[in-house]
Amino acid sequence: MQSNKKTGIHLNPVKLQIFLVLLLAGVSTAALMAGQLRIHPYEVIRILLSGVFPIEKTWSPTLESVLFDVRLPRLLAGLLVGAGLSVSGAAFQGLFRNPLVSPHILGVSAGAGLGAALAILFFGKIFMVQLFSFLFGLLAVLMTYSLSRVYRTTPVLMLVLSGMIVGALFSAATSLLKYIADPVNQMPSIVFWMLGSLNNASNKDMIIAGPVMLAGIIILLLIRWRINLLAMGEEEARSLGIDTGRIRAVIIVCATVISASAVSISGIIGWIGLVIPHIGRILVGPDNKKLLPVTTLIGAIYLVVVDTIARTAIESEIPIGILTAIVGAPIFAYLLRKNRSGW
Amino acid sequence: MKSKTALYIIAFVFLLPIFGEHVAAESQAVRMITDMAGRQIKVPDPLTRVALFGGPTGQIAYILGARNQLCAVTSTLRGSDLVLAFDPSIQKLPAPRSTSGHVNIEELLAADPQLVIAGTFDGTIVEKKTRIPVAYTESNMNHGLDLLKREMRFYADVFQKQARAEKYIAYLEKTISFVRSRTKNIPQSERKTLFNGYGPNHLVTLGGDTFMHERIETAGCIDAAAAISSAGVKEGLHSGLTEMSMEKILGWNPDILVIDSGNPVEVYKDPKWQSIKAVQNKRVYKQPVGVFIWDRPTAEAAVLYPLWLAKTAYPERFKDVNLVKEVQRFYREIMGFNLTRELAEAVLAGKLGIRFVGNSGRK
Repeated sequence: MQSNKKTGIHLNPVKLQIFLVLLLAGVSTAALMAGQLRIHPYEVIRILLSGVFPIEKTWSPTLESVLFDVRLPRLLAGLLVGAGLSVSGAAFQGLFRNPLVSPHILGVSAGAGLGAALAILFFGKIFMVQLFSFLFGLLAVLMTYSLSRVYRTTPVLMLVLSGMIVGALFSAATSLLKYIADPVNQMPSIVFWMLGSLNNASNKDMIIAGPVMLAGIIILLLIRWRINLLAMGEEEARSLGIDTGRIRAVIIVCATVISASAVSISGIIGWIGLVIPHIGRILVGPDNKKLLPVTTLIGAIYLVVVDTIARTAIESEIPIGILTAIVGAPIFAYLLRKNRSGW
Repeated sequence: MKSKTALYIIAFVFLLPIFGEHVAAESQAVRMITDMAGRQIKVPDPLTRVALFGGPTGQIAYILGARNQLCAVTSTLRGSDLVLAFDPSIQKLPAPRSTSGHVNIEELLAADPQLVIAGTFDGTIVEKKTRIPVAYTESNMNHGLDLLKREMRFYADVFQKQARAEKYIAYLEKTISFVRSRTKNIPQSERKTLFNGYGPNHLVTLGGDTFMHERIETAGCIDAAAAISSAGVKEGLHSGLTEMSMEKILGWNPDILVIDSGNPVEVYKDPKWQSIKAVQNKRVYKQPVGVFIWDRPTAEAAVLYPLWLAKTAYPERFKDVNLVKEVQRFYREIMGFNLTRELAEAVLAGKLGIRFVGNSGRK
């Protein structure tokens, strides 16, 4: 007992996971029922069921559109982006053996930001913005990865350094674009995009990006025990006959694809990938086998809750990137005070 | 002996600026102007080198016929397709102010203005760093017609073009009262609800506390975003704009949607917009662009936007109004631009643009 207290709460992971799944289901249902338009919860259920069962349509097509074209894709986007960013954050923190690492460490968000700004400047279409942010996110990480290989002693340190270099370069290019962008329409669009929002999530996005993100999340969850081996340190892991380079590559590819897709759907949402893994660690300890599933669930719950606030609290949208920090920081501070997180 | 020489030199150096100022004051007459913040400013008379900083107000130079009195303008004016079509020499003027808060002081000094006319934010920067007198304008997003008229008269006072300002104001009042006379009798049940959906996602809008509300009401439409307030200044964003959630717009179900990016066909194809009346009835319109985009509190849009919107929303009530001819007439009579038919059509179709060469420096 005494030792547990020092390193967090360490709840029974099975019970905790069941609780979190139930909470996730509850939160998702509530998110579908809440919104700018008041729709009776019973009506919401009937409309949703009409998608599967033949139920006579007594409601207006607007309500159907609200649920199927707005709330449902937005819920799915919230679940996937929240889960994806959190699990990649946890995997990266394990990989880099550093608690201050977030999925954006290798420059994916800086790259995506530049891609989005370019697309806003030259095309002004949502689809191109998403495509460009995804491709530039991948490009930035690719550059980071190739840069880190020029000097092969401590690959992890080189990756972080290269990430900083590439990130700085891409951010500066984005600032330059903002500076020369038309201050009337394009600049606000870039700023809105940088603040992050799930307002643009559509069914088409979920059909294209959803499976990709889901696959990334599942792979990370499947290889979670190998991340523990990496946490022992490069030499020890290698001495056990483990190909650390390959595991590292798999983690980086998965986390990059997840965060690039997330950024392309929602803009830059910070904080989640950094902090949700810590909250998970407070609850179940640093063992990645337990940590990753719990982190995935908490991330999904957290983003759905925050997005529901973002779209219902006031009449216009609150940029979610602002809210994730405003809501998350006090929670995190409270948990830190209450329990010392084992790292 | 040596110390005496030094004393003379010091005295000379200290007295020099006093002589300098004296000479300048003698050679040039001055007069007082009152800026929109109510401050008295001493400016040389006549004013021949004025720097304009305000975003959309550059067109005042043409409305008042004061183009030759300008020595620096904004990049938005310099990049305007419509201005370039009639006054390509505008490109030779420097644009020291790029966006709000970014002023290239050296470029401003090189332009050697006698007076800078700017909003509070940019004006403070100029006052802090230079000795050029600054006249403050009052421009905000709940810029109604009264403020516009006050602004016009203030500029007229600066450039001493009172007659031209009154000509514009008369044109404005005549057009607004014409539109109102046709729209005031529209029964509430027949009034069309309008939503201005800007940005690539068509979800960014101007709230009911902005100048846009007055224009929408003049045109006899119902402002979907009437209850939204967005006039406050937001860091990094153009004040007056705010993003709405898609659901809100589905709930408002506007009859008319005005967009500024993309084109109506894309909106017609987007599944999210299908249940909206404006999409079902194919009433999505791209906003016109003249010297500047028409969703800003500019002099041209104050006249033409309500007329355009009224005719677009209620074509049957404005059968006798030919928008192409109205656009041609406004720019000819007020700004001295003789638009061809094609150019006037391009204005109405929103095909013209504002080209941004870069924020500063000559092309």
